[in-house]
Amino acid sequence: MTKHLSKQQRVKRDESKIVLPITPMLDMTFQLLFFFIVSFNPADLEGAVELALPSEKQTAAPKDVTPEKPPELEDIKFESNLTVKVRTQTDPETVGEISAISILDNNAKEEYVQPSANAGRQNPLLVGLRENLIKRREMMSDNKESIKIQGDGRLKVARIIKVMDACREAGFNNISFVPPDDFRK
Amino acid sequence: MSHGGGEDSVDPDLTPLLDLVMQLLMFFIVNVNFVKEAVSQDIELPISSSAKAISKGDTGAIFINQKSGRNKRFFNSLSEKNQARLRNAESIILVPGLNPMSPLEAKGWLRDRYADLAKRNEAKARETMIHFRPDGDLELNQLFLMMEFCKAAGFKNLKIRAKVKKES
Repeated sequence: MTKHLSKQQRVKRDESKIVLPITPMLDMTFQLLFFFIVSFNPADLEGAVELALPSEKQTAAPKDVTPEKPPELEDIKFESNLTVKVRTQTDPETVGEISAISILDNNAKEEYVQPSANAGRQNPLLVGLRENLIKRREMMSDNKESIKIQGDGRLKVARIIKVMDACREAGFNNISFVPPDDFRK
Repeated sequence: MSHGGGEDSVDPDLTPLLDLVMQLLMFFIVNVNFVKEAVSQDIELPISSSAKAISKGDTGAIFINQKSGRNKRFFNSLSEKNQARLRNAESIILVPGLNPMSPLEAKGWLRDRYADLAKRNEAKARETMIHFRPDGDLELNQLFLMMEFCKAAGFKNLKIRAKVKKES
């Protein structure tokens, strides 16, 4: 038995349908999407450079230090096998760039790093430093892989970080930065 | 041969397309970052292959952004008042929420900041991490100067930040 709806009932049913307007909602969705696409700004990943700062125990006898005053950076001595000295240019055009790198051993014997012929697009001095350090490390006994890096005062921070990377690539993981010779002068 | 007349209308199915639109929207909503970390966008960090990603649990850390005072483009972007004050500064310290400072002004600020933190909790003040964000062109002397000021103020934990080099 089919149920027949009266005309009145059919009209009422048609009138009670609610139609949701989707179009404006989709417009809003696209507006939001556009906003977020435009404001999307993926930042470069930042990290911390691992370097050893001197501990209080390694302090040499400073000249005038009261018990409350912490020792000055330049009074602190570092135990290290090698020292990498990085020198910079002084003329206004190239000040801050690496001009020479030398390596001092514990006998205060200084050897200037030769630029590498296999550097390609990298800085030849940095590649030469890495090659030199790799050779030295092979001759070292274990647990003597500490190195300190000392740059000129006017050397750019970006360049000294590259020197640090070269030392780390050569296998030296215990790296210290020491204040420049002309620090506070 | 009959050519079907009125039954050829093709309604494209929009549902999968809208699903994709919603997915994109959710991705961008999740990745939006309205409040940046306490960093300065003027600093061009050096790139290091040995920089290690930091965990984001350090809520009480202090960020010290440091820019070379010889950078003319940046110096000219400062207000006239700041330019007059920082004309002879070798480097300019940018701490979010504060006016740009010279290293000596930053030294005083660090001392006061440590004193404030120590009033609440001495041990926590000593353990407060200082994140240095040096510009790549900053002179080494200036970076060491700020590190010395931080140590003199009482802060012992220092870190230097760099961009992590992407392996190609």
